[in-house]
Amino acid sequence: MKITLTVNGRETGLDVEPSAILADVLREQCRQTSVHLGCEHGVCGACNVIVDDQVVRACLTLAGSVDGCSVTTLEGLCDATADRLRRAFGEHHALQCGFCTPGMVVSGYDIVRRGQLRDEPAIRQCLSGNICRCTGYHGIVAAVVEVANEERPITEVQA
Amino acid sequence: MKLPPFALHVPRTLDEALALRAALGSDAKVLAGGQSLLPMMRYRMLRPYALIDITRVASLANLDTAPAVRMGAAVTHADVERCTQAGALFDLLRAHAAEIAFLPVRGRGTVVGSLVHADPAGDWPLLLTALDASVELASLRGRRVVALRDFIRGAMDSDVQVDEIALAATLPERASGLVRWGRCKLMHRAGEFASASALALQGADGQWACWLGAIDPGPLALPATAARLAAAGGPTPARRDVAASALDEILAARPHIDPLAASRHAQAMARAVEQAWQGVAA
Repeated sequence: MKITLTVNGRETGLDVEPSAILADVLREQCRQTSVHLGCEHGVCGACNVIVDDQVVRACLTLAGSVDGCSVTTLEGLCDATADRLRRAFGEHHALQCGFCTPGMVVSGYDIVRRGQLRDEPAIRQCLSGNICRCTGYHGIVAAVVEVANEERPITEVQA
Repeated sequence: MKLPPFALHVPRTLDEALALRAALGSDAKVLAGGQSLLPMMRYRMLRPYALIDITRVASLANLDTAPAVRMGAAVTHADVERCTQAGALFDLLRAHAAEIAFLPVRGRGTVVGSLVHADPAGDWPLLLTALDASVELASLRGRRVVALRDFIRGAMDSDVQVDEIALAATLPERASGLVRWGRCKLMHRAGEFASASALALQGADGQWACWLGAIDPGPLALPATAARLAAAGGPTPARRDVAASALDEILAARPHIDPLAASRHAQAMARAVEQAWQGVAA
């Protein structure tokens, strides 16, 4: 089936299988290989991407179901907030092997731009949908908490 | 595992969706958020030849709050979580939605889909059964409304005919008069399905309702515990008294239940009652 996705700001016409999962299409046809497939059943969060302002599991979303939508992967996060978050991840040793990192940064970015969660327990709870098998989470949580508590202009998030 | 091949239909109107449903019959499943259906297809527990994605049918995306709450089939857990209506009922709906799985799953998973899926550990079957919701269904043959208590026939078994699509879940108007509520969901890990889940609700008439979820084959009412709460009044009933009363009722209703699970459910009920009594809703 033919679909159109705006992937990281670029409108892309795609011919996909009806059973194609968004994560596979993003990786194999759009070459956005930051979308990692870990568990492929919605538990690990490594495939998190933003579809029309909302974080979703790209492994539990059919490409055909999001025809016409705007999709942002880690590659498309290039504003000041995302840069700050990347720097904080480095400073806090929030990654080791890096497999979970794209999903963690996408989730963290969503937390920061919504601006509603600031305290550590709430952010830790919100990040519980992303599994990391290396770091023990403390660095990741610390990085997101730090950036979430910095002053920044409030952005309206629709979804 | 990767998904097996299937056809995908994405109708834009309800008429189109119902026509597809009638034409494809048992070969097809209705896809809403897909947060349970797609994993089940990945595990090969289900193998439909076609999916009918109903989330682009605009009329199904409505979340009405007055005079009664009506949630269309495309309303997601996150839509409920972000609903800004004031009142105890909406505080309860928001708190309940916010504890389902993880945010990325809540953004796509739907309330009505969870009812049709009828997982005994599901969150909406418990809450909406306790609030005495009903489910609206449509097919080319016409429409019908079923009480949720009849709609869920057992574990993973709901009353959807092969040509029907569930359109919405509706709460009775009296649900808006909710006075106090307490809930307790026990999970092994944040975001997982509940291992025990309890609700204690007090309506405008002063009557209590106590319900347990995450128990086979579906939500279980504890009327004697609820009656005892109505009679109690005054200070918070002791947690051990509520737990003992709940445990008696659980063992009577489910004599073959694992004793450890029974006591977990009873403790969850005691905590839910405690929260309700402390007037979290007030």
